Amino acid sequence: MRRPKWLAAAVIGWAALARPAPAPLVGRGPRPLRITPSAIEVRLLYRVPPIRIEGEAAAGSLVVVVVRGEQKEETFNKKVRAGPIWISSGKVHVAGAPSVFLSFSSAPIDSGPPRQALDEQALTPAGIRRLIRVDAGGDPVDEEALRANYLSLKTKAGVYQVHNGGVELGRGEGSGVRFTVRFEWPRKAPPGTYTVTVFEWNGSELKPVAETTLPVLETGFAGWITEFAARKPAQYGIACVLLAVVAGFGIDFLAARMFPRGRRPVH
Amino acid sequence: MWIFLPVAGISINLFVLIAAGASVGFLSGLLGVGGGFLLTPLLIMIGIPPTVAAASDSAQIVAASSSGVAAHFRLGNVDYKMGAVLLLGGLAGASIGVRLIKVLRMLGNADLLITLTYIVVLGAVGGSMFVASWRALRGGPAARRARRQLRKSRLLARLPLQVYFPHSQVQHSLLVPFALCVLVGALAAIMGVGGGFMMVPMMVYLLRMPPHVAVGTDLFQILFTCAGVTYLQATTNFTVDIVLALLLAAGSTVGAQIGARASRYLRGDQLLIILATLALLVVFRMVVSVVSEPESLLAPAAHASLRSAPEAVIVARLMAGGPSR
Repeated sequence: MRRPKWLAAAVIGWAALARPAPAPLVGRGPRPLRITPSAIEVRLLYRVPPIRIEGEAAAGSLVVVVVRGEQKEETFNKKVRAGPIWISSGKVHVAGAPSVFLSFSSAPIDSGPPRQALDEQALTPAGIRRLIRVDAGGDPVDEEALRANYLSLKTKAGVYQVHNGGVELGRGEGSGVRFTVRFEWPRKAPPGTYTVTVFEWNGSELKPVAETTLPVLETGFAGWITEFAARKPAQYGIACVLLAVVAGFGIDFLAARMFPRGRRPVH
Repeated sequence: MWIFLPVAGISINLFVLIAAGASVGFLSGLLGVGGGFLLTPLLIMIGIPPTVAAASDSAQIVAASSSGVAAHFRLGNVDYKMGAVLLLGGLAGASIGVRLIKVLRMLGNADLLITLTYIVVLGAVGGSMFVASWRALRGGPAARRARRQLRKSRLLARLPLQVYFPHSQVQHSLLVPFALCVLVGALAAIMGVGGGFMMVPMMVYLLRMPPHVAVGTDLFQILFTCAGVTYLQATTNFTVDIVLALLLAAGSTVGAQIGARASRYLRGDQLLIILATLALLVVFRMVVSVVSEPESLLAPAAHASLRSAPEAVIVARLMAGGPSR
């Protein structure tokens, strides 16, 4: 027996209303947390305003704010020594590390919590190093050296940053204190969803006290191109070829008019 | 001014991209080389993900070579008949080269062999081209050269399928340019570079084409190869960033125009000596990079995404001149 359409619509509507509301994006956790802007919109002409993270922490505690990107596997060529020369030999797949790691603290991070606590929460590059998985396809490799090289590549690209003293502590309100973090968004950080976590060290325990997400979205023409390339690759491929040919011939047409052909020199 | 590259997912200074395109386009227009072997490492150096750099480079070569072909066409420098034969031979050679690489990888340390082949072949081609051009510039032993050429010509004239190429004013058996291009295509595939460096000297010294026609004809075949690469990369690996390609093209097409015009003021021997010097500089850089200890044991993998790509993509990518590994 066919169910009437109105009944199906009513069931769907009821289910939507009865579903618990999603947790608020800002301030998930016992402490409030605000990020301005709440989402980063990336357009073709790159103009991202400085990011500002504001929140509240327990007075007298060391505050650590960490921005982490999604974990993605990356592939590299492995350099090995063969006699007197260095060559690329095989691929290395690196996984487990966040694509972006920005750490800000109200004081030098190693001045408070013990190293083990920092490593457990992966709050330092050394802590992240423990998370990195290296797969060289069964070849014997110096994994520690490769982990260190990976971290140094990320730091060089500006997507791994540690700012001791990057958290500004404000005036206290009762047992709490306001803090602010200001920073420029790394230009090489790809679009995606980033997690912002606030940690507190109260002298005996290091724990996360607030967490929220920071979406980085491609919008406008940039977003349209990404969508087009992903959804209609064949049409996108043809468009790329045609645009390139038109651009080439178009510039040649303009150049031929701007610089008319003279007599060809005799060789 | 910073621009966001949608497929690469990062932002880059606009003027840096245009300048990079212009300098490589100049060489492309002047010497008839694709420029992929120069531009892709340059893009990786300025922070573009390697897979996107390699794929988008193909799209910009389409723009630069179409601009270069148009300029060379007006100057009467394109032999379409010869270009078609070279294109077919090059594709067949690249296909053979890809299969050879697979065999070499199964045998063991293929990369060492590839690196050494790169240095030896490019060094030999660049060195002999440099010496020959230098002798020609200074007026070398013409009589001995002419005697050798006469003997060679008699041998080649006996081969079947003789065809006259009116534009280049040469007559050859179709088998000669085809076989030579199969060889160059296979070597290019093994070395992981484009054939421009080997193709132009081969056309000049072995097929006896005028240097300017060799440059224009090489650009003509590069245009078709790279159009195929761009389409295959966009549909297979999703790594063509059209914004990046068009910005590079804006620089490179202007550079190619200037390069093609500059080539009119240089004699054929002078063009070849520039190409030879460039080849020797690349070899020198390669030798320095392989003997000195790298800063990092991890190097960006430009061909990472080709691991699972169909052979057609790999052949096309190699024909277009990928980065030197």
